[in-house]
Amino acid sequence: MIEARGLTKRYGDRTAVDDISFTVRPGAVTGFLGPNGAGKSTTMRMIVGLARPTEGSVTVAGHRYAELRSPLTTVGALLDAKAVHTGRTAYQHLLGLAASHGIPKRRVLEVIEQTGLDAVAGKRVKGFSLGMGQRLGIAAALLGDPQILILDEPVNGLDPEGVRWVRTFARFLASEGRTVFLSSHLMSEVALTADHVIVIGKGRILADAPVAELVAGAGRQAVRVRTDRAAELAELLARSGATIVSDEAGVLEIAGLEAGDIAASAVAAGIVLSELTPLTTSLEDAYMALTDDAVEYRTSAVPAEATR
Amino acid sequence: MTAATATRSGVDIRPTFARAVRSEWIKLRSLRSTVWVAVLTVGIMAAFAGLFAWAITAFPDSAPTSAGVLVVGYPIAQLAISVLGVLVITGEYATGSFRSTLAAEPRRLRVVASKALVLLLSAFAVSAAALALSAAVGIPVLRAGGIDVRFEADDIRALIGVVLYLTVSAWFAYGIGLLVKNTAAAITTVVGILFILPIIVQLIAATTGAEWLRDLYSYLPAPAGSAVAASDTVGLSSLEPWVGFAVFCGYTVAALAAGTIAFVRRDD
Repeated sequence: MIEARGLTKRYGDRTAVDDISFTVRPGAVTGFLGPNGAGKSTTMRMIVGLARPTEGSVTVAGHRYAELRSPLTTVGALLDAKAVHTGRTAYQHLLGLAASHGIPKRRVLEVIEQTGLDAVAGKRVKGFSLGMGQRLGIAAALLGDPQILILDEPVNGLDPEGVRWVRTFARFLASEGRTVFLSSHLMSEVALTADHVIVIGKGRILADAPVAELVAGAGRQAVRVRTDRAAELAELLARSGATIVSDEAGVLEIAGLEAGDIAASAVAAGIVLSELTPLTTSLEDAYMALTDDAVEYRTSAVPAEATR
Repeated sequence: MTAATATRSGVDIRPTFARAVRSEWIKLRSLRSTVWVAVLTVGIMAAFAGLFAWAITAFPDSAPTSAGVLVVGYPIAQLAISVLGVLVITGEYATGSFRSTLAAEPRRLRVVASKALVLLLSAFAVSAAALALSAAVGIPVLRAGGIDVRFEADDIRALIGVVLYLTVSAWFAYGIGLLVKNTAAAITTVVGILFILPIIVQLIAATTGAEWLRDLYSYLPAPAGSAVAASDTVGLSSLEPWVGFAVFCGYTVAALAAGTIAFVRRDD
């Protein structure tokens, strides 16, 4: 269990994390989602005591991180795959960490095997690919066999096989009853891995809900219709209470009516439809809608012509 | 998961000071830079001992020479061992590994103390080895040249003094490293304080003839500390050997205190 209460972090006049409160529960993967610069990493660094909150507090297993009796057996954190001295071998890095808690050497060998690092454990980290670095970071997080795992952007830079491995592994750890808190700036990643999602933008919590609920809540159902007599159809449907948007001549986006009802109305009026497509909002759309105002660096919209 | 059972077998798994020391020792010895610095420190000292001994035999006046000549290479060795002291902490900042260190041991004072202890013991061992090899190289060269080596109280004090001075120098550099974080900046600072500052003060004192600057010179970290290494062959400071060393220890305590406060208060 991770609990944040009124957590705030300011750097000078910039507020990186703005009075957020949330609870991360055991037995599930909780996604921590937000655009880059939204405050994800700052929040995670505060959880493990690397940054001090300006106001508020965050506890893991009921304690501030610095007050944990045994940090590594309580929380495993992957905050940065590069939190390793590159001149050391993977094995020596893990051995040094294990020694700090009196964790036996055989446990070091276990996590090396578990994360598939056997072949490279004796090599210096300098030559590691990003993927191997992430695996080593996860191996370090697992050393103390903790009940709480904090993974900051664990799939960053991984190849597809590595991404799937992290996903499966995170789900497996949660299925064992552990608390898994995983950050990402990719909605699709969180949707595939997490049960619950906390969305952060500009340092504030934008949503804190089960993944399914977030999608349904932000989801907008609409039907796209293409016809030569668009204006006529729009007028007709508007009378049945539909909301109609048209960005292009001859194409309508109709919300508030089922595709079947639209077809029936069109047939009754003798209007020929050349397209009738139900549109479901994707997770990505839901996320974009949520964080629309909270993106720190915005790219200008691609002109419609360019997308063809 | 079979792994889950492994850490729950009897032993109390949690951080202690002794474990922190063990962890820091594993970390220190698993780095190539540590090995290089150790080899360099010992090598420099032995090479200087050999060269200096050989140079002395070129002027055979049959007078016995102080054992202090065996350790004339100490200012260069001091530079090498200072790099070790700096790297113990700045290496962690350069690579980001301090995050792993602090995740395992969030009590920052304990991190500072365990690193300090491991560094002190390692620096002492390296300095003692440097002295041993210097003697092993220098004495036979001198004897072969027909020059007797004098081991009187002051000569032995110079030998012990060099070992202690080098050891404490590593701590001084560690304090600067804690304070500055960045490897290049820390090494530059250490070099500036130990090697450049005395030269500047000496130059100004010589140019202006200011008596107080001449007095100040003896109290600068390196001239003060090297008083303990002085013999009739080498000597920089006008301070009594152990007084000078105590002054240097004072600077070291100040550097460590400032570095520790900065590290403990730091927000990353």
